[in-house]
Amino acid sequence: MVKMKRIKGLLKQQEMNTELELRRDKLFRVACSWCQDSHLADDLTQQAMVKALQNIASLRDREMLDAWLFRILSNCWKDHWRAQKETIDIEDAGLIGEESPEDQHYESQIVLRIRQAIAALPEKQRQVVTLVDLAELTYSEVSEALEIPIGTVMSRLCRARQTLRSSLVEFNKSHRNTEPQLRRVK
Amino acid sequence: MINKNDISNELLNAYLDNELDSEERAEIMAALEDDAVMARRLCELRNTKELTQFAYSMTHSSRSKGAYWKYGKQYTSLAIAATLFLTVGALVGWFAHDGMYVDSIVRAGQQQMVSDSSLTSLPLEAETKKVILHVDTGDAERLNAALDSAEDLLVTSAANGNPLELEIIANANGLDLLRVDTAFYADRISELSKKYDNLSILACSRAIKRLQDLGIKVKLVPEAGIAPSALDQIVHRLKQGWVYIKV
Repeated sequence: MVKMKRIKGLLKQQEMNTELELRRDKLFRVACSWCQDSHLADDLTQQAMVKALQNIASLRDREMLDAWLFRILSNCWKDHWRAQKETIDIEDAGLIGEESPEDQHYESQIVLRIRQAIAALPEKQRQVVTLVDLAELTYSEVSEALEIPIGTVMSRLCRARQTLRSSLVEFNKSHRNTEPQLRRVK
Repeated sequence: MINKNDISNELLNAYLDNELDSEERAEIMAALEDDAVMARRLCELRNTKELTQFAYSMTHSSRSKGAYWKYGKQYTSLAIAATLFLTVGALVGWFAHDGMYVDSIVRAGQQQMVSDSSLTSLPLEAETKKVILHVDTGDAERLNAALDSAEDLLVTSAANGNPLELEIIANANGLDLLRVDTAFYADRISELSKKYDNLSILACSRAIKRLQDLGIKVKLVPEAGIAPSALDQIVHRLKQGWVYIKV
């Protein structure tokens, strides 16, 4: 009887491992958009997955797995900032404006600019827009993950997208003044 | 019942993110049909969402068990959306603001201007803008992107009261866009043609003949006219001062 219970427990954990693994890239993308550092994003993702496995018993409703998982990720990110707050100034965190050789590439420029625009958003707006667009959470799941009302989710999302739009239009204007005129759309 | 004046950006975001029930969706869709400005706002929001997704679409955890293939198709469509943002986006902006400049496109007689940076800041006057959109690929993502771009331009010019003449010309595999037997765009093309009389659609007769020579019966959407040669038509339009975009 005890053995059966253990086997069932192991199977459940294996199942959960698979579920979490399927979500790793989404967690990573969102973490990346928050911290702009792929190594740190990997660590945050790993931490969130380990915590999720350790606390799986506290997840009452499997339907809420995504919201629960991203809430853990959000807490890991907050913990990281609390730990770093005294040593790192956010202005020095290297979020914006770093150029690399691949910037020469047309699509890379767009990607870089969009990432900069996302990074420049206020933290609370950035969390909402990335959870909706990158993690593909519903408004209700975002509300659950960040522990804020749905109305707040909607207003932050709206402001975030407006700011992003303006920022990208600015980029479009400046881009037009520097790029050659003839382009084949690929 | 949603009042048309109450449709805020927040509500449009909810529509875009599929957060509304079917009744609310239907009401917004009805409002969008009558309100070009609102339709443009929705286009902009959709564009922003797609660009955000595009920016991270190829980002994977180093610990991930390799799932690149799953994202290939999504990446392609997002990349097209992003690239069109910088080409058609230029034109949409052209209608939205006075004094904006056109790039990523060739204007009549400007082939030599490509290397002349002083002309990149040539302001456009408030005259009828003429755009020829050239489609020569049968790729479904691109064909959809071409129609999206055409619609964006038509909606934006109508919303801002700026006159526009838009011509879509298809040749080679791009003929799929206009073939009723191979494509699924007939309804959309018909809808756009009915709504916008400043849109004309042309198929290249040489491309049609090539297919016929292979024994393929070509049936085109009724809205499509025939141009003797797509390339001659494009050159002709460029000489007349039209803007050329190749999708």
